Amino acid sequence: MTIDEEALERLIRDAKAGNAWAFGRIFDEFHQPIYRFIASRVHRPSDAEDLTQLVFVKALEALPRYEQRGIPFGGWLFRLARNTIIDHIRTRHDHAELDAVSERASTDAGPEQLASVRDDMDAVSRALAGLTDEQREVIELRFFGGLSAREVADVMGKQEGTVRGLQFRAIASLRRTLGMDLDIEGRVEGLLPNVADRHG
Amino acid sequence: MHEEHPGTDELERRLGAFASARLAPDHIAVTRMRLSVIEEARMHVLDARLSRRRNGRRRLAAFAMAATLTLGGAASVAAASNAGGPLYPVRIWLETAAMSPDQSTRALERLHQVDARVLDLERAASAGDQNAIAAAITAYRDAVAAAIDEAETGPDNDRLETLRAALGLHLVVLERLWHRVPDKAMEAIGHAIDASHKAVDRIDTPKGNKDKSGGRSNEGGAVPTPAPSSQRLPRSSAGPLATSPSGSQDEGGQGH
Repeated sequence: MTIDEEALERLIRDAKAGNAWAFGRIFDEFHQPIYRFIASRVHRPSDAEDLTQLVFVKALEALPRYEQRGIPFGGWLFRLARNTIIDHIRTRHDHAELDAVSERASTDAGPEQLASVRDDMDAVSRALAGLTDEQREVIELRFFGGLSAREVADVMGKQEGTVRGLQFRAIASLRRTLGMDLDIEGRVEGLLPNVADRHG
Repeated sequence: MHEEHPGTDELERRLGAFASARLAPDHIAVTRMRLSVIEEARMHVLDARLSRRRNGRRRLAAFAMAATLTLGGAASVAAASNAGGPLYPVRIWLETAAMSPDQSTRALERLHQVDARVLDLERAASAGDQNAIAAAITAYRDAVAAAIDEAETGPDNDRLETLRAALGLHLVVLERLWHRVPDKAMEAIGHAIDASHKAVDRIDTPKGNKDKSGGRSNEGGAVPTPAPSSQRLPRSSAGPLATSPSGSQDEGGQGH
C-alpha cells in the first residue's frame, strides 16, 4: 500500500459519508493486491477481474458497517475477497489453476530470455501447487496480497502463530522444490521448534 | 517483510516476479474495473441521498428511472437505454436531473458521469455497434464539456486537477479501444481522443488566456494543441498517448 493509516482512515470516513471519489481512491490503493490474490486462486483472468470488481462492490455495500477499531481495513477487504472466492469456487466448481492464468512478459525481452522467464514462472507455479491449501493461502496473502502475518491470521480466522508456522513450512517447501540453497535445509528444519515455541 | 526466515529474499523476488508476470491485471482491466466500481459507488451515493430527501419527488422519480434504465429493471428497457438506444438520451437527462444541488457534490457527479460515458463507449465498441459508438462519443464529449464547466465554476482548484487525472485515465481506455475497433469506428474514437486532449488543454490553459481567446487558444498555455486524430494516429503508431499532452501512459493506468 502507498497510503498511510491516517489518509486511509480519512478516505474510509469520506467514502462512508457518500464520497464516490474517496471510494475510487480506496480502489486505487487496494485493487492490485486484491486482484493478485484472486487471480492466484481462480481459473481465468476474466473471472479474476469480475471477482475483484465484486469484492469492491461488496465492500461498498458493507462499508457503513465497517468499524475502523476492529480488523484493519486491508484485512477486512481480503476477508471479503476470500469469501467471494469461496462462493465462486463452490458455485462454479472452479479450481485454482495457476498455469491457466495468462502471462504478461516484457515485450523488450528476447525469445531466449522469454523462454527462461517462462520456465521460471512454471517452476514457481508447480512449487505453489505442491503446497497444502492452507500453506498456499498464507503465501498468497503474504506475498501476493502484501498482508502482515497478523492480517493473514485475521483473514483466515487463525492464530498469528499458526499462520507463521504455516508460512515457515510453506517457504521451506518452496525452497526445496525450487532447488534454492539446499544446504540451508538443516537450518530450516532446526528452526521449526523455535517457531513453534515462539508462537505456541 | 519475511526476514525471520533464512534466505527468503531470493524466494520473495521469484514470487514477486511470478505475481507481476501472471497475476497482475493489465491497464485496460484496471480501468474497466475502476469505472464500474465508481459507477456503482455513484449509484449508492444517489440512492442514499435521495432516500434522505423525501421532499425531492422529482429527483427521486428521476433517480428511480435512471437506475431502472442503467441497471435494467426490464431487459427491453435496459437495452433501449444503452448507448444508441432510443432511451439513451433520456437516461442521461435523468442522471443529470438527479444530481445534487450542492456545487461540490455536483462537480463530482459530473466527473462520474464522464466515467460512465467511457464505460458506455467501451461496451459499444465491444459490441461493434457503430450507432452506439457514435451516440456514446457524442455523450462523452457533452459530459466532458459539462464537467469542465462545473469544475471551473467553483473556487476549488482540486476539482480541475481531479478531472484532468480522470481524462488521463480515459485516454488510456480510448487508446486501447482505438487499436481494437474496426476501421469504421477508428475515426469516431479518434474524435473522442481529440475531445479528451482538448479538454486537457482547456484545463491547462490559464484562466486569463481563456478569457482573451474564448478558452480554446493555446497561446501562453503549458501544452500545445495536438493535431487532429486523423493526422497523428496511424494504426501502426505507438498510439495517441505517445503524443498526448497529458503526459505519459502511466498517468491514468494504475491510478496510483
